[in-house]
Amino acid sequence: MDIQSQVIDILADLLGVEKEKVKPKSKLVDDLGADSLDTVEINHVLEDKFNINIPDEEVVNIKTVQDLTDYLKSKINK
Amino acid sequence: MHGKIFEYKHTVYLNETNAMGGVVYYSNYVKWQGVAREEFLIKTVPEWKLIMQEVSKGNVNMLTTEEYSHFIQHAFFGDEIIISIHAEEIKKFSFKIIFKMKKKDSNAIIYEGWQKLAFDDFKGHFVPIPGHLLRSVLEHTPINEIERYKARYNLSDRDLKINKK
Repeated sequence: MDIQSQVIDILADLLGVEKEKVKPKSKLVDDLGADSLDTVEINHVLEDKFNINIPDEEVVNIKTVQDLTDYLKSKINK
Repeated sequence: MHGKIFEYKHTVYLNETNAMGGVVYYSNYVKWQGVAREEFLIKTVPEWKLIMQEVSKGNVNMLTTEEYSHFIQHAFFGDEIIISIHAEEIKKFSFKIIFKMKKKDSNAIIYEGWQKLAFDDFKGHFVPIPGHLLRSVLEHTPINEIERYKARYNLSDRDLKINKK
């Protein structure tokens, strides 16, 4: 399964939304309803799943599902 | 053992009703949520005093981040209410407590609601659900939600010490 598909699965599960509603352009806060607690829960699962560290200061610029996918790809490929 | 339901009984007193027909004032249902969850802590978590020690040391703080209420029927002075609670959506830093309230005499459901609880370090950083509490929360979580929890965090039955016999 590619990274984006895994991200969509994780977001749908943790945010309690249908997978079909999680699109690459979906905004995490405005479209999917993520709050600060959700962000921490999401980061924890992603860190565990991809064995990476996601510093708080790097999360600030992640607005959409695509942003998040691109960020993870850049971390994994380092 | 999973899927347990915790029950707390409450009798409606006059000071919980209002002047418009003597029905229970709506905010009391949220108050009862709070009482029921504290009873749950005291009665099902043997180490609850240890958790409170951590609270008093400033190491962990319990936050209610969301609350939902669906008022279905009125309750009145003298009604005996059974409040049933269980847990769902167990995550690393938070979980939901689901409340169902019914009248003891008629079994009529009068209220359904939930609240989401999270934990922080008093400095705005979320911390994991305290272990002693998590154990009890998982015991009061339906098995389908346990399966979701295991899949979410890649846990095995052994990790949860599930005895399926």
